[in-house]
Amino acid sequence: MVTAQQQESVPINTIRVTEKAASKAMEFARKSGREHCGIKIAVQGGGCSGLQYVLELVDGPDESDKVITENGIEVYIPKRAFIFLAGTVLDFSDGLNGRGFEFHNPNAKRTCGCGDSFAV
Amino acid sequence: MVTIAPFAQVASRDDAYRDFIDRGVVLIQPQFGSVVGHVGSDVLDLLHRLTTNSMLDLPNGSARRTVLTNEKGRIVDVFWVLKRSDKELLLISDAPDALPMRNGIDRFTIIEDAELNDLNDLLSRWYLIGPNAEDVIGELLPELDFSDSETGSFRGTDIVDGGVALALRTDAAGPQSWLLMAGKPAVSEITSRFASADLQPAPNELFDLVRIKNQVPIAGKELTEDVNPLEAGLIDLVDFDKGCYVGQEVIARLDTYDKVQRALVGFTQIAESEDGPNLSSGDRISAPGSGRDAGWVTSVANGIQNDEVIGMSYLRKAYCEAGTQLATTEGAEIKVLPNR
Repeated sequence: MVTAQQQESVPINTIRVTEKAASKAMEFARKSGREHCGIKIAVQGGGCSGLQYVLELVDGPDESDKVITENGIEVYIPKRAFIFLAGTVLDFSDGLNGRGFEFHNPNAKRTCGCGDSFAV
Repeated sequence: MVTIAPFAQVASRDDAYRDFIDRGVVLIQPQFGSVVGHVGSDVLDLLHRLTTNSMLDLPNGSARRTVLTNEKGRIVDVFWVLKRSDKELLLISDAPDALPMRNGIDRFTIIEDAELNDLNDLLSRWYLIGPNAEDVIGELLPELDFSDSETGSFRGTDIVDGGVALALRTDAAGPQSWLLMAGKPAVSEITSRFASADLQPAPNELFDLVRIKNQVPIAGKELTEDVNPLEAGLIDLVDFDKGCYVGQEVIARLDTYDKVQRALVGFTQIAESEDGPNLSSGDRISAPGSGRDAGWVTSVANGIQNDEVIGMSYLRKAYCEAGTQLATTEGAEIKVLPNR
């Protein structure tokens, strides 16, 4: 669980992936047989509030992606999406009430019930 | 849009209406509406995520109507999506201004391969409306088969070298309303075919009169950010199973908990005297007795026979029953008409 203090400590010019989220991403990568891959984090139009997160395993960055290494995993962020994601923490929440990967985005003024869609 | 004046306009709306009744068809060159091209590999997926109707299963060469709503579930625009290929759509709206639709899509185009282009300078548009419109358009475009059409039917072909003619049955003014579009090279051919069929463009007011008689809402008047698609009677354009789109949570909640407060109805003015109060779009309507706000007028048209005034309005559901009599705050009395 990301605390408010952890959220505030993320510089505005980057995004963070928690150890747990990075570990889960690598676990999914191994299960899908991909040894060398990173995670793409992006934003696309859609969802109840107008913008929704994209999270996927990809083999490498696109030309226009910003590349960050966090807790041992490479993160690729399309430059056009970065403005909506700056300062975000990607976490992983498990257990009975867990919701899987969670975005803690300081730019989101409103989020919908499912947590996948937001407005800025 | 290409400005052409191939014919003298019919002298008056009333003359055009009489001609319409005689022939069962009228030609309108709309001063409203627009065509926007949407190109790129993500266009269909993007519209599926932004609008109320399902888009992913739209076959090539067909059209489907959808609603772009804002985060509050209110209507930004209602338009036809005509799929020419997986990467090329035409977005066809009757709104007086396409900018809200364009901005509503542009705003949420982030990483998608999708681009909007104004096609109004490249495509001329006409409406053919009336019970005989299908027969007449079949005679105008014998290259195409117009039998067994229904709302959303689309036909298109080149009628001259490099000059495409597209026909889409939108029913924008009531049953059998065909939107005919032609690329620049085909315009003179189309207009000469109109002339051969003795079709002259009627005033745009006639489109409005027929539309209001048929109780068909139009963007900019009934379909605005003041209302949601359920109030506007557009539930058929909402796919409740497709998942999230902008405004989906609000619209789903309104439907699930039966919270739709208003409905769109037609009305006629109860004329007490010739110099009675006038009706105008935007007039507020009060409930009888209590004086409580009951709704507002969205469209008004003077009929042809008996100086009848007809219109459309949004009313709280308690006042929507046919025959209910209400008054505007200006004192004009109206009676709710049965749904058509």
